Amino acid sequence: MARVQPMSPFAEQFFGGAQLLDVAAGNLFALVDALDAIGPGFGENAGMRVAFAVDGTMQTDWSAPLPADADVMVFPRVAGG
Amino acid sequence: MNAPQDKTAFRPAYRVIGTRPVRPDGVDKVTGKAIYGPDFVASGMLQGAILRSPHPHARIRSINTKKAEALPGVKAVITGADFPGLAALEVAVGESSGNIKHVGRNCMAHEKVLYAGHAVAAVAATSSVIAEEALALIEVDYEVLPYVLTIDEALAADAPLLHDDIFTQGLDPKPTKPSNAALRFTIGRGDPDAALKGAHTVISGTYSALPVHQGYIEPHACVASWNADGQAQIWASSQGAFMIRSLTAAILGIALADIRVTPLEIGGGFGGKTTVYLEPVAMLLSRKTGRPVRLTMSRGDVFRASGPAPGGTMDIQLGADADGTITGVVMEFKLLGGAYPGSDTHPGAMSALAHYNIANSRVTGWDVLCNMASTAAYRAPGAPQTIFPVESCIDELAMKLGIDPIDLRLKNAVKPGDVGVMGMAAGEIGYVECLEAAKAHPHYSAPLGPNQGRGVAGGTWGNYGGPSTAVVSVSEDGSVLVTTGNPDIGGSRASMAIMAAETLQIPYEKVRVTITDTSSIGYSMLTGGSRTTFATGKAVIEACEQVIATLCQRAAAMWGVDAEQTEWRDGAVYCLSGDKQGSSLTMGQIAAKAGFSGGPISAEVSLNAQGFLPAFGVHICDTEVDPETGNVSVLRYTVVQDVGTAIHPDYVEGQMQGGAAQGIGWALNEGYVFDKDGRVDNPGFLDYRMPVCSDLPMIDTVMVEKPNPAHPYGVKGVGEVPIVPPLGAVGNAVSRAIGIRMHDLPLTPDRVYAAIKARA
Repeated sequence: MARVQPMSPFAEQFFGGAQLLDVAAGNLFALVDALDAIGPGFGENAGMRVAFAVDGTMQTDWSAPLPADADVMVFPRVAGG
Repeated sequence: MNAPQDKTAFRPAYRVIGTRPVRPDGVDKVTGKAIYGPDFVASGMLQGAILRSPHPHARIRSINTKKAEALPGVKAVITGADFPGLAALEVAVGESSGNIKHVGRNCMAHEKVLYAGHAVAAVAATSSVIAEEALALIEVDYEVLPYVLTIDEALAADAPLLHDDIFTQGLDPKPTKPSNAALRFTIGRGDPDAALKGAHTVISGTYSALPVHQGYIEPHACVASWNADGQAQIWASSQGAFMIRSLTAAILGIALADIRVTPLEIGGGFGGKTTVYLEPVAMLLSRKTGRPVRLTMSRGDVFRASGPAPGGTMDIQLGADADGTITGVVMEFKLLGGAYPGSDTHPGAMSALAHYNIANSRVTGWDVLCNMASTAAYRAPGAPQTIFPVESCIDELAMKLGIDPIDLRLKNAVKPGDVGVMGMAAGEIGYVECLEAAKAHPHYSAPLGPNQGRGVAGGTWGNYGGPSTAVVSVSEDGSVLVTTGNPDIGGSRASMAIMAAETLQIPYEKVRVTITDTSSIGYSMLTGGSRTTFATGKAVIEACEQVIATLCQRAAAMWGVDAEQTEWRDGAVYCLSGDKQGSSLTMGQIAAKAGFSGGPISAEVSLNAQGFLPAFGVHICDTEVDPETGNVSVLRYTVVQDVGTAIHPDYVEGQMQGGAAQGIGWALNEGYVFDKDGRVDNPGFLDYRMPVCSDLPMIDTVMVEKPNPAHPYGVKGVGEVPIVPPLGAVGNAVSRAIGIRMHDLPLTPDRVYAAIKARA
């Protein structure tokens, strides 16, 4: 199971303020689907608003295999100038 | 200028990388031949003009366009009613996202205007004079509403609401009433409250900065042509032709493939040209008239209606041990986002403490709406505002503890392997090396005179990678064409040519670079986030490697050997075995026979670039304050920055100097001023005082080259971080010069004089 830490504002917006979720997923596509089942609407937002760090490294390739015990941070995407 | 002499101590020796060849777009630009946004002309083109609201907040009761439509020469008039109804939908805007309903309504108001300058109607006519005359004939019936322009006004219990469908995100439980606070975002770790309680020394303060404009010389401009068959073309100056395509298509509800956007030369963007203002309006005017339509903002329009960077207030408490170890920080900031959500709250919070390794911290940011133009990105969005109070507190802490300000920063600096508040370990970053280089610089130990002060500040910016596409083609004579989809806002033509020349091992002059339109190449994210040399550069390098592989295969076939029996060296293929061993074929010789083998030689690479690293900088600033007037003169300024590998050092130094100059302006002079009716009172370069050359000393630069291992040539983004430290560096220099901690930017003479007078 991946240990998923949703940060503000997603924790409050989709997961009732939960700071840690255990989710089984083979990659980030599957993880987004699983999180959408927990917090409906998350999946629709994920593509545009969300960034992921897997085991301490930014991961923008959602098809990359997700280690079974991965630590996944869910945080807002930010824009540069 | 003061780059280390022995560069190989930091990175490998290169042939072309690190040289300073003439910029490929230079002649066109200095001779006036380059076509910028307002220069472009299409056959049969009409001139457009936009009517803008005089009120900062008002409900539109009705708009009567009949008199304007009847004016000879007027071909079309549109209002918000001509726009398709938009549902709230998140779409990509730059590296992040935005609500397309808000983007569309920022282009033209529907039911309400939210700032003085908000577009309410537009005209297309046979001349600009007629279009302007027609605007005066449009009758808008407004119900004027109370407005808010400050954080206190916007968050007051009885504040007028800009939107009745915005509820503060990030609160638990979810609020039931709408608010002008669009977002609350908190990031942190440990127990900062306990750390502050147990600290030997606590420094605290409330800081502020005003909204400032990016100040690009070229105003927003475009030409749109929308044919009856549904296909359209847009010619525009922006930071991303694909961004214009996607936002315009989403606002107007048309297919991406039906819009072809051609990028024109850009006269400055700095983040401010990462969204659309004019293009959807010009498209609707074109559809209504059947002719191309040009829209160009005036300088006043640019200030009133295109995004400034947010101002805001920042409260901070910073605790430390007696030896200077920072033990805890609590910070809360509120940014004025303007008319629509999306100010720089997230990156501001993430950047504030990212250059220090602090065990206990909590940073809370608020995105606060007000009746000002919706804010847009500006170089390292959010970081200058939030790092300013951090660097001010560290300076104050250094003075209180009697520690050298650079030593204090070195004690707390983030290093490779340190795990940050986001749970990510720092990669091969160079903040420590920058601090050491700053301390060793002659500037840092130079003597100061009376009324002079020296300020130091550090800062960071996260940078980005992302999707990019590049095409590399070998011409029949062996010259090389590189094509990308990223507008050149900071010298990317030169850096792409250098990386291609380095990879192909050919002279820089044999490579030419073209920026093409959205229908002629695969997708590239916009030029922003300091990503282009890193990400698009990776695509160029990979395409060159594919071209080399093809050239080796072609040569091997001519020689009758396997491709493995060839070697690419000095821009030619060498045969390593068989009868032809020792023979070579140049690119031109192989390309000339391409028609007799596998056909033209080219490669297109699309990738999603990973492995970008943040940038770090340290600035040193000397100021002199006139005690009689409060006027501040910048005497000497040095920028030290970890640049990864400087592909074209002139351009890297130019970014460092330009960012510093903009930051100095933010610190000393710039800021939006509103009149009693809520209108921008300084919408021009005469009253909006950006620094010019005569205001500044020569800005010295020190490039610290600590390569990024995730890029073939070690590239790190360099364009944004240089605007981050100046607010703190200038503020600390002035504070030390007058012996009073200055909290509010800009440090205009009246403010500095008032501080000196109050102490006296």
